Formats: sequence, structure tokens, C-alpha cells
Amino acid sequence: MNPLVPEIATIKDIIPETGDVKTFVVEPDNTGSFAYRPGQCAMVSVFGVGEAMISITSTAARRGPLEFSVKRVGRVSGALHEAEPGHKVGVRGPYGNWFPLEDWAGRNLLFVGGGIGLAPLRALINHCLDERDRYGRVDIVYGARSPQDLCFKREIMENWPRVKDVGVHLTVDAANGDWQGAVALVPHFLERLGPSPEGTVAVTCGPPIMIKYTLASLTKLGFADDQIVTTLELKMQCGVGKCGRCNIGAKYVCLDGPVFTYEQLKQLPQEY
Amino acid sequence: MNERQAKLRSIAGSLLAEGRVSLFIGFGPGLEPSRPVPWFAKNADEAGKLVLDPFCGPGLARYLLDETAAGPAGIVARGCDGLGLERLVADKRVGRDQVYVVGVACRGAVDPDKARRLAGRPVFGAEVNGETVALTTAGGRLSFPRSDCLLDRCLACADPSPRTADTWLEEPLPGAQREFEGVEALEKLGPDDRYAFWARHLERCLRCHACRNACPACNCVACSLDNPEWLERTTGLADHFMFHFTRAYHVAGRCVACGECQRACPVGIPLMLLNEKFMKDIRDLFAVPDPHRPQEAEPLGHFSPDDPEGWREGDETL
Amino acid sequence: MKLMRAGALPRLLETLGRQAQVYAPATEDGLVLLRPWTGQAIATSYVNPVNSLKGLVYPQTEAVLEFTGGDENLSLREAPAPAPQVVFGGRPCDAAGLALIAQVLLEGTFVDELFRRRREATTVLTVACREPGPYCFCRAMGVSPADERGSDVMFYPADDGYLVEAVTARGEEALQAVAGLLAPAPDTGARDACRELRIPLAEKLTTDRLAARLEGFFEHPYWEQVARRCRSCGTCAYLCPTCYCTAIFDTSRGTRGRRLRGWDSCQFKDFLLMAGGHNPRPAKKQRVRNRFLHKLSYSPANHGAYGCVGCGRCVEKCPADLHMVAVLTDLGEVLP
Ligand SMILES: Cc1cc2nc3c(=O)[nH]c(=O)nc-3n(C[C@H](O)[C@H](O)[C@H](O)COP(=O)(O)OP(=O)(O)OC[C@H]3O[C@@H](n4cnc5c(N)ncnc54)[C@H](O)[C@@H]3O)c2cc1C
Ligand code: SF4
Ligand code: SF4
Ligand code: SF4
Ligand code: SF4
Ligand code: SF4
Ligand code: FES
Repeated sequence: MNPLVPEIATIKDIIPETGDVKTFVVEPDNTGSFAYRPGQCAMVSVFGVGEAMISITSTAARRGPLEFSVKRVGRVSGALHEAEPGHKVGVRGPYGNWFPLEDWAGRNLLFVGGGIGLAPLRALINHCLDERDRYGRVDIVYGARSPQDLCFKREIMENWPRVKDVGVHLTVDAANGDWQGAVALVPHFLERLGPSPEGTVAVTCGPPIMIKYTLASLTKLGFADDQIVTTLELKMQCGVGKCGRCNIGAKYVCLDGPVFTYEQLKQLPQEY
Repeated sequence: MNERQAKLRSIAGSLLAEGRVSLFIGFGPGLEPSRPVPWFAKNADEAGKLVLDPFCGPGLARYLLDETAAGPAGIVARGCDGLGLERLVADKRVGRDQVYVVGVACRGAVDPDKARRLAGRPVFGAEVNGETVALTTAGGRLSFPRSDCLLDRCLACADPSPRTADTWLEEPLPGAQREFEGVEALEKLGPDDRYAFWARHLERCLRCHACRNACPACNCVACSLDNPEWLERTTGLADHFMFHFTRAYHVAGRCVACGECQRACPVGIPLMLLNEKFMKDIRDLFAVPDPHRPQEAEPLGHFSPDDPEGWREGDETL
Repeated sequence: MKLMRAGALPRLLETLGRQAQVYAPATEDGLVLLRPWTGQAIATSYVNPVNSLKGLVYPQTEAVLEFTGGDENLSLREAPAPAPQVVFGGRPCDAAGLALIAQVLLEGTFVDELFRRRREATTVLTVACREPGPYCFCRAMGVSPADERGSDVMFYPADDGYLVEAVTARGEEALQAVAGLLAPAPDTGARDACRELRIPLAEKLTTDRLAARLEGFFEHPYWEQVARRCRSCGTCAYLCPTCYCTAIFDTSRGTRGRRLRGWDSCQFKDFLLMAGGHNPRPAKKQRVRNRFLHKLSYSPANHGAYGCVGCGRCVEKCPADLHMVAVLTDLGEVLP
């Protein structure tokens, strides 16, 4: 089997999340779905335009179709945003490693997301909340540029806050309309919340600049490097470790990542 | 020893020491004497290793694009480098005041591959004397005709010295008129033979872009050759033709005939024939005697209100 | 081990050519290239063909799939299987390069199917070296002028022909098809001569413990200085028999199109340019460093071998003379 050949899949539904993010509900035509774990990605293609690596934001244990939340930034993402339900796309995967939640039993979980970075976290959060008793306290810190840029509004506003011992903390860079919540950059907001590192794993995803400052904030709050988990984004073509594109030093993000602990990250050349 | 080289080292060393330039671009020692490399001296010590001899081949002008960002750079300039600099200045990509030019009188650069082939062994030194070139080898000095030893571009060169310099290493040599014998020979072929000629050469193209990246005229911030909407990334003969038409058209009227594209090409494609075809046509159609030298009014980049063909936009006659 | 007279070479290629497309070195405009063989003169006096074996097994562009149809009815067709081919005249360094690419593409979680199919459809007839070229340094990189890695049949140039030895079952099969052209070998002299051939340039380079010595060298100012002369072109990677980086892209006309894969180089300035404008390696220093560290440090870490086989192509062809020998020489001075 050629790993570069995608399966044809049908867009079943398209959910607008923000002005430039849409969630695509996608069902592979032959297999219906494939097995994957939170944090893994797939190559989604629009034939004639190209492929883009996208995190799988649905949760495998829920057995539904695949979901991808895509921000419109370029050619492939732009073409996806033009697509309609019923259109065919290509999907191949799953690729990359996943969040090491095997090791997290009994621990508190702190999720810190920014913008579209909540997409991979969403898969993880829903997975963890479905086995709520396995973990201690769960806190979800999420920020976006404006209230309109917050993704997954149903979940962050309604579903997640209802679950026992789950705190959802929202912030925006700039408020408008009737936004009553916090106005702060995610790292500042996080420091103000001051979560305890005691028995806690922190998982952060977002734009590179946010990750950079969030890592610093977590360190300031007393989180050890091996208590912090994050994801890296690098340009990708094959997704399967063959095209030579996504290396950081001797590691390939598509195979060895995208999930890394801060401890692992510090071993890599700072070139991403 | 080599007096010109000693003088250059001392000029470059002083420019750096006095802080008049932050970097001096020239040639430095390479793997073998016949292959000096582009050299970027940042201090007197590094200026002390500058090399200036008939093996200095690579064109240097294009490096000014990168190297003048942080402050003025000095450069040793032959005629080809000087025209390249003029091109970059005319295109407003490099400020003339950001460059300190040390002009030289170039008698042609020896092609290290031709020299080794002719000598049949490693070549340690070369001297260009009129129509002959003397090569030094372990087995003694061997003499060969100039036309067999020099880089292709030097054989057609009409610009041994730059047109302007901030200081001269030696008395500049006057420019001459460029001839286009290669193009004339090609023009005599019938269309099928010409097609076969280009197909044979272009078939080899690697699409490595070494030609574009060598070129002082290919100085656009974003190049259309990198844009898949303009040029597909496929690599069949038809794509190669498209690549080469586009490249040649985009430098037509701006090419300074420095020949660095052809020198850089790893598969020996005679790119200069394409460039020279344009030059020759510009010379003949627009009566521009030296079409490769940047002009006040660029023949293909200049509009004159009394142009007999008018201006396309809103022109009723078109 | 068998002996084949030099004059029998066209017959050999002709016989193998009945079942496969044959490639052999040909002289064209003063260059020697591996070209489809249709009976033309076979070049013999060359060090390394300009194009390496890589391009014949891992083409510059190749189709991954074809698609037809519109948004709502779409069908895919995988690229058809490649036709059998026989490549005569590559050198041991190139074949070793092919073996390294095979390691990258065939080992690990995923198997690169396009490469696997074409490699299996290819019989590599390698001509070992009796004389080093001026820029050969294979031995410094752990490759010998009689290296068998990546070859199916070895041809050792002898006085009036070649000593011929199959290395793989595929090679064995090829030799069986031309058994009539082969005689018993009188001795192994030609092979021994190749195995013992001295490579002077390699003797000047030290690659001892290189990977370990490069540890911590990432931030050294050397990279910025050496990278200044680089022009960020594709010459080094495209000529290199071990560079394997590719891009994947679609082309389409109306309702039909193809997805292709084609060579790319980490030296191009946009290699890592991402949507939104972020580029993790915008500077030449970073790209040049990646090229050399990939070959000298990351490749040994991941595959147990240098990503350079010492073929000398970048040495001869880099328009700015920024090549492996220059860097190894410099490293000999700047590294602890
Ligand atoms: C592990 C991983 C997970 C990702 N998850 C998501 C997600 O859930 N949602 C989302 O919106 N985006 C995600 N991205 C980013 C997404 O891949 C890019 O935004 C997308 O490839 C841009 O493609 P384009 O064609 O629209 O942009 P163009 O700029 O036109 O890009 C052309 C090609 O370059 C490559 N490319 C460009 N930018 C990137 C990039 N940032 N990362 C990887 N390849 C790139 C792609 O192959 C793309 O097809 C993820 C990236 C990675 C590496
Ligand atoms: S096209 Fe060639 S000859 Fe003309 S300026 Fe560019 S590099 Fe020089
Ligand atoms: S340098 Fe030569 S091989 Fe490379 S793209 Fe230009 S013409 Fe083609
Ligand atoms: S090292 Fe040489 S061949 Fe490679 S990109 Fe730089 S200039 Fe081009
Ligand atoms: S790096 Fe240079 S010498 Fe080494 S294998 Fe590649 S082209 Fe040959
Ligand atoms: S040197 Fe660069 S182009 Fe060559 S294989 Fe390594 S990363 Fe790819
Ligand atoms: S995306 Fe191709 S190697 Fe990682």
C-alpha cells in the first residue's frame, strides 16, 4: 500500500467556528474511519490543490466520523473553506505521535490553548472527560484574539464547564461587543490564575509565539520541564518521514512529534 | 609574488580597519589553487588571505544583495562585476553609496575544468599573456591558446574593467564592442535544427535555479519562477522550455552579459546564447550600441511619450 | 566471478534490453550522462556521470496518483507500476548512495511504495573504479571504490574487459541471461585492484569521531561565515546521490489531474516557508548548517551512515565552491 495515496472521503457537515475557522466532518468512503489517538493528525487533500496536515479534533473513542478544524491561511485551507457538504476530499493518516495520557492517571490536567491550537487539545480534552474519573482536577485555559475568534463555543461555554471539577477559563486579547470575560494574553492570564504544579500535567497548543511565552509562564509557576507537554508545527509534505522536510536536528516532527515534552524540546536545536 | 594581490589585501585591510566597509567581498583560498572561492573578509586578518589571480572565476556582484544590508561592503570588481553592480543599483536593490568598488583590469579568468583537462593533471598557477595562457603544473609550465583555457564568458567579454570605481587597483582597460558570433551561427540554422539544439541542451536542465541565483539581474524579491501558478513544478522538456523562456525574457534588456548564469550551470547549458539573442536584437532594433550596459533609458524598460506605437492602455490605434 | 571482454558490452546491454529499458553512460556536449541506451557509443573515460543513479530510481518528478471527476464524483488511480530497467555504468559511491536512500525510504514505520517498486524494477550494474577522479573522497565517508552496497552486479574493469560478479539474486538472474558472454575469470586481480585503490583526497580528510565532535557545534559562528558564499540553489542536492528531499504537489487541467512528487532542496530559501509567512530557516547560515549537519550528524544518528558517499559532484559543480570537502577541511581546523 502506498502511504502517499489518500482515501477518498466525503464532507458530511461543515460547522463555522469563527470568521476564518471551520470544522469539517469527514467520512472516508470505504472504511468510514480509522483508529487514531488524541494528538494525531491526518493529511487532508483537495484534489488539484494539494495537501495539508491537520490535527484530528474528534475523539476516536466516540466512534463518530473524523473532524478537522481548519483555519484559512493558504491554498489548501482556502480550497477547503470553499468546499460544501457532499464534496470529496482525500484523507490519509493517522500520523505522528499522541499525547502520553497513559502516564497521566490520577494527575491534575491543565490545558492551555490559543486560537486554532485548541483543535488538537479538543480531541484530548473530550477523551479525558469521557474517562473523567481517571484524572484529578481539570482546568482549561483558552484564549483567542477576540470573542469572535474563540473556537468550539458549544464545548467551551456549555459542555465542558458542566463536567464535575472542570474549570474553563476564557480570555481574549481584545474585547468587543458584550464580552464579560477576561481580557489578557494567554500567558499573562495563566500566571494570574496561578494553577499549582503539584501533581499536574500542563498541555499547551497554539501559535508559536503563544507557546513560547506560555512555556516561560509555566516554568515561572513551578512546572518542571517533564510536566509540560506541547506540540510543534513545521512545514510538512509527506507526513510519513520520507520527504525530509520536517526535521529539527535529527528528529522529524511528523514521526517523532508533533507532541513533545518541554524536556524533549530543550534537547532540540532551537530552529522551529 | 603577486603584486596585485598584495595591493588588494592592503586596500581591503585599510578599508576594514578604518571602518569604511564592514565586509570586503573578493576571493579567498579554495580546495586547490585553481579554485579560489568567494571570500568575505570582516577584518584585516581575513583581508590578508584575499586571492587575486587568473583563476578568480565566480561572479561577485549578486552577493551585494545580501551583504549590503548590514552596512557598506567593499568589493573587488572586474568589468562583469561592475556591470552587475550597476544593474543592482539601477534596479534600486543596492545603494551605490553602500558599496566601495576596487576596480581591476581583468585579462580573463581561467576555467579550472578546461585547464585541468588540457594539462591532464592538477594546475597550480596560470598567467594570461595576450593570446596564450601558461599553466603551471607539477611537470612544469605548459602553454595553451587563450581561447581553449578561459571561461566561456571571458572569451566574449568587452568589459575588462568596471565603468566606475571608488579606487583603482591598476590602470583600467577600455571597453570594446560586444560581438554576437554564437547567435549569428545559431540564427543560420533552420528552425528544426535550432529546436533540436535547444531540446538537446534543455533536456539536461536540472531546474536547480543556479542560473537565476547567480544573476545580478534576477534580483526580484519574489521570483515568478518560484510561483507554481506561473510555472508548474513538473520537469519535462516542455516545462524546461517554459522555464528558460521565462528566465531569458525576464532579463532581456537588463542582462549585463556577465555570464555568471552559464558559468554556474552544472550541466553546461549555453544560456548566454539566449541572453545574447536578446542583446543582439535590442542592438539592431533599437540602435543601442552596447545593449548589455545599463542605460539611462532602458530599451525595454522605458516609455517615451513620442513612441510611434503609443501606449497600450486607452490607445485607439491598438 | 566471470570475465567479460570489453567488446561484448553492447551485446550484454542489447540482451538485457529485450526485457528492460537500458541506461548507459553517453557523451553529450562534453559531459557524460546516464542516458537511455539505444545502441550509441558507451562512454568509458569518465569519473562519475553528471547525473547520479538516484535520478533513475528516484526520479526528479513522478506521479503519485491521477484523479478525475469533480467535487462530488471523484476517482483516483494510483500511478502505474514502473517498467523494468537496467542501469549500467554507475559508480560504487552512487550505488552506496542509493542504498542509503533505500534505508531512509524503506525502513521505519512506513514504506515508500513508489521507491520500492522502482528499486525492485531496476538492476544496477555498477562499474568499480580503477582510477580516482580529482574530487573523489569516498573512503573518507566509509565507502570503497569496490563497494557492493546498492549494486546488483559489480563490473571490475580489467585489461581487456571486466571481471563480473553478481551481488544480489536480481544480479544473478541478469548474468544468467547473458551467460554466453561470460567466461571463467582467470583471477581476481581487477577486483583486488579496485578494493585497494588509494583515494588521495580522502587521505587528507579526517572524519574520525566526526558526529561526536560536531556535538554542540550548532551555534558556532563558522556556519554564518561559510554560508555567505552559498547561493541557495539546488545544484548540490540535485546532483547528490544521497539527497532525498521531496515536495508533493498537484497539477490539474479541468477535471483531470495528477499528484506528483519531486525533488526539493533544503537550501532553497522557501523550503520551510509556512502559511502565514513563518520560516524556521530564513537565513543561509541555517540552511547550509542543516545540509552539512544532516549529512554528517543527523544521518549517522538516524541511519548509522554519513549522508555523503564522497562522489565529488558538489565539489566540482557548486557554483560557489561550498562543498563537502571544503567543509570537512574547515571542520578539521575549527572542531575540537
Ligand atoms: C502537526 C500539525 C498539525 C496541524 N494542525 C492543524 C489544524 O488542526 N488546523 C489547522 O488549521 N492547521 C493545522 N496545521 C497547520 C496546517 O498544516 C497549515 O496551515 C496548512 O498546511 C496550510 O496549508 P495551505 O495550503 O492552506 O497554505 P499554503 O501556504 O498555501 O501552503 C502550501 C503547502 O505548504 C505546507 N504548509 C504550509 N504551512 C504549513 C504549516 N504551518 N504546517 C505544515 N505544513 C504547512 C502544506 O503542505 C501546504 O499544502 C497543522 C500543522 C501541523 C504540522
Ligand atoms: S542573465 Fe546571466 S549574463 Fe545576464 S546578468 Fe544574469 S547572470 Fe549575468
Ligand atoms: S543552472 Fe543550468 S541546470 Fe540549473 S536551472 Fe539553470 S539552466 Fe537548468
Ligand atoms: S552550497 Fe553551492 S550548490 Fe549548494 S545551494 Fe549553496 S551555492 Fe548552490
Ligand atoms: S555531499 Fe557532495 S560529495 Fe557527498 S555524496 Fe553528495 S554530492 Fe557527493
Ligand atoms: S542535505 Fe538537505 S536536501 Fe539533502 S537530504 Fe539532507 S535535508 Fe534533504
Ligand atoms: S513531513 Fe515528510 S519527513 Fe516529515
